[in-house]
Amino acid sequence: MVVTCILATVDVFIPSEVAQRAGRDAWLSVLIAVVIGYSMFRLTLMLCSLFPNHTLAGFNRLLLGKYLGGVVTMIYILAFLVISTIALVEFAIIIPTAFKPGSSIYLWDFTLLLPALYVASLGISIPARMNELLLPLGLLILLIVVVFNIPYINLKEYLPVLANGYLPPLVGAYTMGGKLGHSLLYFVIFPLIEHKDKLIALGNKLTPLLILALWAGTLAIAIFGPALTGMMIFPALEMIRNIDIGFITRLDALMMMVWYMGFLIFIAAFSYGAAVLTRDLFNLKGYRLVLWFYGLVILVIANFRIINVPLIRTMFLNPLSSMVYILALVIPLLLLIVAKLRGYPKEVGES
Amino acid sequence: MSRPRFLTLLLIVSLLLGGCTERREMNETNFVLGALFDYDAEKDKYEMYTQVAVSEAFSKMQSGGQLQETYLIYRGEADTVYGAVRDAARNSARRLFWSHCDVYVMGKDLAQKGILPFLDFAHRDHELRSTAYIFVSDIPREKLLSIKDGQEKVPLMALKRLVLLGPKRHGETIPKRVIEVWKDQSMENPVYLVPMLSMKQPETRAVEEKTKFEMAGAAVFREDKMVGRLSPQETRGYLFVSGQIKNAVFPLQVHGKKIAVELIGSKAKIIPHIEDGNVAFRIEVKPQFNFGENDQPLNLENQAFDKAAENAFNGAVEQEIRKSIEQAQQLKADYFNLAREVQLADNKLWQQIRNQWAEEIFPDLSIEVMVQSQLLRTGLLIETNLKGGRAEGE
Repeated sequence: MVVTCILATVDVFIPSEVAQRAGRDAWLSVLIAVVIGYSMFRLTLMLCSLFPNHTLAGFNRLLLGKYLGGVVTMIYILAFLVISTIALVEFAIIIPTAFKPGSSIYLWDFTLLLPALYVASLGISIPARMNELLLPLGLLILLIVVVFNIPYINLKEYLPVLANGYLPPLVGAYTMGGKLGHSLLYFVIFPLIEHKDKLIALGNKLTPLLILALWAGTLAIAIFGPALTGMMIFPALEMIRNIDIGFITRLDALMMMVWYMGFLIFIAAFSYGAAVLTRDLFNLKGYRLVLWFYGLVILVIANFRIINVPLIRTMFLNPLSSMVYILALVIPLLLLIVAKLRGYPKEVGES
Repeated sequence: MSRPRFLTLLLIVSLLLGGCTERREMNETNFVLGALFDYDAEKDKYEMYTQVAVSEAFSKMQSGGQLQETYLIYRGEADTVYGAVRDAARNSARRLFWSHCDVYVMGKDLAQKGILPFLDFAHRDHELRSTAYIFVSDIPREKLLSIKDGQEKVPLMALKRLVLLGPKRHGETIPKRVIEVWKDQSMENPVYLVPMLSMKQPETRAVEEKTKFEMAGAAVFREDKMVGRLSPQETRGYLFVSGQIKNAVFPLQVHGKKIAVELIGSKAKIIPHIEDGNVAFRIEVKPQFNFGENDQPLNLENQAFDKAAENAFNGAVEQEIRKSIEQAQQLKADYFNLAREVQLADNKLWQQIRNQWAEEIFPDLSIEVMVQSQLLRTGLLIETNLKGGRAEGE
């Protein structure tokens, strides 16, 4: 599910932005970004493993006390809501921009948000099981996009390597790496995972797959060149629009489907995360009522001011990446240090 | 209703609801299948003409068995390209729908003024397909729109087939999609070719013959402006160097005999030579050909004649490539993209010379051309003899 959340959003604006920043070295940015993302994944798991039966709200209270822990948890709740809202706004502007320019944004808000909230209200196992079907389907469509673009791929577009030094791929990796920090979902779902010991092995297996999927996103550079890719808003969509082999053409709807499925899982997961953290923070009986309330909050914020494409694109890139680095790297690292200083892991029952 | 069923229903409805917005009915839509964009310098306005399919003509015959008009022309005019497109909507009772338009013709005046407004519009608007093909025409607008050669119900649709067949039949044109021109235009060395469209007037002897489109030659663009044009042979020279040519027929004179050979494939290699900051190039082309025709008794088992044919073919191909290179250097237009080869070979040097490349270095660049052809097949005959005996080999 974490991989779906990553892929759902990373192939929207990111390939274009990375092409602008890293140019022909975008493929290197992918590798560096995956290293960053993997570090966040391992760090999150290290922290969560110390408190296998607690969500973030629970172990924040244990480590930082009721008030400071509560404040930190509130930051995460707000962040989850912000991430969900940006995803909703992003989806609601993708469709009118690329497919249906005359349609109302509200239509797309409801089309995505209502099913996502309903799915999340049934428990995290429902989006997780849906993901078992949707992730392979999404990857299959990604593969179709690559295969049908083979006649147009020119790998020489990636050369020369590091033509402008080391900085451009690093800058590109910074932007992309932030989108790989969705492992912070583990702060909420870790206690519910049955085979916790298998998570690292699973992560190791999925990392090469993630690299390939991200490279597929940067393949736009090999097709359109770095300059044109940097000019496009949705290079992944352009790749699918570029397919024109006999009767195999006009496959745009496939990309719409992939984005819809990906964003559905994404918003379901993060809105669930915000609601569950709130439940645990305030010791509420259930999370469903909070979830629907947050749905309303997300809807209102998403439409508080109809955000234009350049603005949402700017927000989605470095500001959001920086926020994710703080949430998935900086704070967890500090919490881990505090946990070690306090002698965790403790014997069962001790905490 | 159980939860899984409700969930499934919700998802299906979510997907279907999207189709309810902005739906288009077939009988309320005018399908644009080809368009001409041009610029009127006197009025300082962009002009647009579309050929729109009459959908009824594609599905049935009129009563009495005679086919009705198969297409309509709509015209728009405005200060901008997009404005011209919308201007045409004033006369169209059905919405003009552009997603099926596969052919965009740029008038010569627009090509010389700059096609960036068109490229920008074509890529920005989600309805237009960047996979459509683009052309430059030197045919007067009125004449171009009046050509009905009967090959397609909507005449401009024939251009796509013509340009795609070109490299496979004569090699004198180069297919170019809008997205490829956009890509070329965004490169560091934005010099590229776009196929040139002209017309073939009927011979007076054949009264039934109609004026037809002719796809041969190319327009040379620097950034978004047309700066010159290539003859059909120069275009073929370019196709040899870029490795895009598939098939063509060459007439040759070998030992006094007139023969025709058929090119069946070609590979090319561009090799930069960089020494002490000086750049030179060697272009190696390796075509393969078959015998297609000869006009005198001949035995092709004669290896000496075959070798002579290969040499003659080498000379013919080399001449076309050299002509194309000369034209490129004269126009200071590196449409072979040799600049990129320099960058790939020595990026540091490229950074030093990039600003002098187009004006100073490329026009005087030393380019060696080497053609090494290979005769593969003779067709279904090995020998031609008019007198019944064996032909004398040369």
